[in-house]
Amino acid sequence: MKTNKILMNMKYFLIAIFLVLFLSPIIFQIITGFKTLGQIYDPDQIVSVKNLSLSIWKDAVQYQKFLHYLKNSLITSITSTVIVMFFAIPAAFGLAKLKMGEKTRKNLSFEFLAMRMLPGIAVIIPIFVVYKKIGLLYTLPGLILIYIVFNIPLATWLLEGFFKEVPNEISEAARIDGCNPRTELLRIIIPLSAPGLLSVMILTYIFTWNEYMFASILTTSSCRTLPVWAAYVTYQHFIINYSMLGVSSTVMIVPVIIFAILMQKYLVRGLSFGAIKE
Amino acid sequence: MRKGKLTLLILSFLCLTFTVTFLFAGGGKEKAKEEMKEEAVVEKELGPMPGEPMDKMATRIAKALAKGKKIELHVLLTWDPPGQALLKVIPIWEKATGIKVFTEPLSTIEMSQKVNLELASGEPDYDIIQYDRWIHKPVLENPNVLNLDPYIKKWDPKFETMLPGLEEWGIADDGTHRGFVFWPGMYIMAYRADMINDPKEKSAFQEKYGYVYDIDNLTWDKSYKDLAEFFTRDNDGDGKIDFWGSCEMFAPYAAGDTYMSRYLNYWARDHYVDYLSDPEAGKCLLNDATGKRVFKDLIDVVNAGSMVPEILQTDWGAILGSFSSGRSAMAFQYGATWYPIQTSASEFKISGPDKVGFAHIPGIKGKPRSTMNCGWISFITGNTDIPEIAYLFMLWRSSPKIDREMAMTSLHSPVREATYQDPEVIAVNPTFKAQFEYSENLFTTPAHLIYEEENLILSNHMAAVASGDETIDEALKKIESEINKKWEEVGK
Amino acid sequence: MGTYQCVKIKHNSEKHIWRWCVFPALFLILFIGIGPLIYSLYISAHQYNLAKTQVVFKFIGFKNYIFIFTSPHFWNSFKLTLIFSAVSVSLELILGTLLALLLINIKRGRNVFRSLFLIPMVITPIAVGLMGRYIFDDAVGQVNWVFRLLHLPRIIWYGNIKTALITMIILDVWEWSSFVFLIILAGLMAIPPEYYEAAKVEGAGLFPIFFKITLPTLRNVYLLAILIRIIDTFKEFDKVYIMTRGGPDFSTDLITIRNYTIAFREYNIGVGSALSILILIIMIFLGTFLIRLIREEY
Repeated sequence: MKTNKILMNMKYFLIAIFLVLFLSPIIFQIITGFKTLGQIYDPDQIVSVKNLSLSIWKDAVQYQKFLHYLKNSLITSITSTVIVMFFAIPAAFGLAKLKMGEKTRKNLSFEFLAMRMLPGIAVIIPIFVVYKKIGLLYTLPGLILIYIVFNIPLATWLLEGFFKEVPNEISEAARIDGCNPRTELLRIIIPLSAPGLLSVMILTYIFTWNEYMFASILTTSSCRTLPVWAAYVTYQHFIINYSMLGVSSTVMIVPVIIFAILMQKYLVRGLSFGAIKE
Repeated sequence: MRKGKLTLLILSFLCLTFTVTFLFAGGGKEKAKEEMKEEAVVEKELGPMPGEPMDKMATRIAKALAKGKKIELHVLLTWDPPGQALLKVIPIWEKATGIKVFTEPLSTIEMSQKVNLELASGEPDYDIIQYDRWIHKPVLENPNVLNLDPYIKKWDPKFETMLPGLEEWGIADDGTHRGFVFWPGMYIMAYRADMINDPKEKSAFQEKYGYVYDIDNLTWDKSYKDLAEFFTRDNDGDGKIDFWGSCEMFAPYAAGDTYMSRYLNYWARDHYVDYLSDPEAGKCLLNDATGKRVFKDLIDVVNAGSMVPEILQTDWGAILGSFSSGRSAMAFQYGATWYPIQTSASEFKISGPDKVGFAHIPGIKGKPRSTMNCGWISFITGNTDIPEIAYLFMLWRSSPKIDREMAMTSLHSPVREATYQDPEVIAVNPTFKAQFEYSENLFTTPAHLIYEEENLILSNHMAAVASGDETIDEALKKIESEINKKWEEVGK
Repeated sequence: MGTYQCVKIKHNSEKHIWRWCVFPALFLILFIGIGPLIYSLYISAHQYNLAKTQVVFKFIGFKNYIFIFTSPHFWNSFKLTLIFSAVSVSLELILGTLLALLLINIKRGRNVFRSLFLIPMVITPIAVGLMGRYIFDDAVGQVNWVFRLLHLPRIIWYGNIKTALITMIILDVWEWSSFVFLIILAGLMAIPPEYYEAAKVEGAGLFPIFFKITLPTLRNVYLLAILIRIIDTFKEFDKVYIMTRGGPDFSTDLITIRNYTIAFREYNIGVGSALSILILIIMIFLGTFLIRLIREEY
């Protein structure tokens, strides 16, 4: 019908507007990485894309050594994600499937969720002091340890939801066959909830990649991660370096964007956890 | 049941262990390594030789001290013009002495935080730490900072050939030298030479205001105000103002510099006593006639609409952008800011001697003209193994030759007076003339224990008055009471 | 029978297997997450300045807490955080729902749109803050360029006491509406069409359908979105800090930024620890309250 078509077109139009609103700032930011400071500060070139150059990028690689920070970010995120899974999978399995007092289950589950509310600012001072004493300060392992601790709660809670989706009948059947919990976990639960696992891994990876506060206090140039570098290369003392802002932002967000688009299905699963009940 | 209790026990034990670790970690051990390294008997060859330039002496002695040992100097510095200038000359040192220098650059954001935390931990990881002048009082008083007097006696840095006041920066309350200035920078004014020197503009101004302006001798309370008002205009004819007379900083912390640069010139006293507070009595001194007058003249310019509209977000990093994108006729900032636009080869729209001129900041008729310097100052950490070599390095980089070398090749503000007056150097750095003018009257930010906090309080109230949220009297009263409270917090 | 090798185990020990699974994670969190809190609690009862050695380390009981409660800065931060949270979350709910409703009936390219709308949410908050710093700048930014084009008044976004917090809210809504959108969309997609069929048969209009069928069914989804967003806005730090450090005259001085300033610029970690304990208590109350609301349904 005609009204339906008009309605559809209006919908597409609105979607287009929102897309522009959501994505154009990012595009502007990326383009900035290809402009020199003189071009950025020229009022006539605010939205122009002429005369873009790679000179800023060359400077970033040679002089600012950003590949080193990229490497740090990669190491930190990948290691944290893997180790978080090592802790969170058994914990979620225990909470979702294993026999325990119902009250205990509810309380423990809540405790994991509550840990997510812990603001980083509350623990950063003691962590700094102790790290300094035991020599973990300004090292990657120290940072990774913190990331692990702060990502286990969310990972556990999400995994618990995914594990609960595996029907109990399957577990019961396995038990009747004489299967022990460890095998149940490895051979039944994990394969069946693989998409959920993947989404939790992706989410954890993104959180550790994006984290700033702990990284800024617990690292120095040898183990600095990308967000910290972005902050400090932009705010130099006598100039706000918008070119480097563009470069550093691009390096930070483009991998994550590509990741998110490719893994979109899993990301959405992870985020829609427990929100949808049949 | 038993297992449950056992679990609880283990849990509490773990938490207890952690807490106990913290308890022993906290409290801040203080290790003052004041004792001189007397084992180094000053032999003839480790002393200065007659007629030897300072840099040669420093490298010669350092090389001798390092003979046979593999020594690495660890320097913590800021990733700013001073740090970058230093990085360029370090190869010269390494070649002459064979001592490698490992540098760790920090951003200005991190510097204040890391430096203080490093010191507080009692065991800094660096030999030399370089930090910004205005956070330096807590640093200078920290017992983990090395006393430099013995080394200064052995190897004289010739403070008398440096800019006035630089030696005092590094002197702690007990009279000993703790810090060594490496890079000062004077607060100057940049202006649109193409507009200000234009005879048409000059005569139009004379018609409107009845006198001729002299850009090298403006006054805060009259000619600067008039000039700022005169140049605020609508350049593209769309009915909206798009060009302003002036650009000053009102961002948190930065605003304090704006205020101070004026206050220095309004003093009835021509000798720096106490700006902002009396640190001994712990009392704020700003709420008096002078303080009020400074505030009023500043806000008059803001209220007349003669300043760029984004002043509340404008800090040291934003001035260059505002000025070089063609938004204001005048702008104020420390010398190094202007280095990117002082030559014509710059990428910025407004750059080069035709468009950009530099002058000393305005003053007050009848009072001595002065301005402030900021800068970077270094100290040696108390637990270093190589105090002599660290000191010699600091001496070397402030030596006349290296000082001049850095001024010629990077964004370096010299410490030696002679460098500012060297015509070759000035040709490469047009700002040096304005920076050096009236240098006998240079003042620097006060060495208060709580200067950072005072600065923030002042900045915030300046922003409030500029936005019309407070009157000047209210602001001064609040500033006074808040700063007094801060002094109480540190026990004054 | 089974296709896997299994070992028979005693029935009794099965009851305690879960401890082996859950406790490693729990201990790690308690040790490194909670342990420091106990130290924070201890420090909060002392006068302790990390950098100013002249300030003596000594026990002062509740003085730090009293100082916080009598300091106008704390109440200002608390007020600002509340406003920021309430306004951002409300706007995000509305915008997210709007987007979800737009996309729910679109079959073609829905996945593409969904992945595109995902993007603001996965971007590093620091990058969002830097982006805000750039595009809202009057001299070099695109927003004011568009405003000038459309002859709209010149707004100095984060350089004006009155508009700085609004700028932060706009950024937060920009960044997180997609999150709400994703959750609501998933929820909408899970509603069986029968619900709507029945309503259509009875001739119900669009709005009543939405308010009487869709919303109640999605109650829990909304509550979850609200819970997560409120907790996260209270923890907001990165992008506000990088843009304004607390803003012109404390106008964007959120509670986390206040805490950071006290602890890492003034090095007054006695007060800093006390404030962080208070923040934690506030968050626990909020979280528990909201979770109870969700739990009711179960």
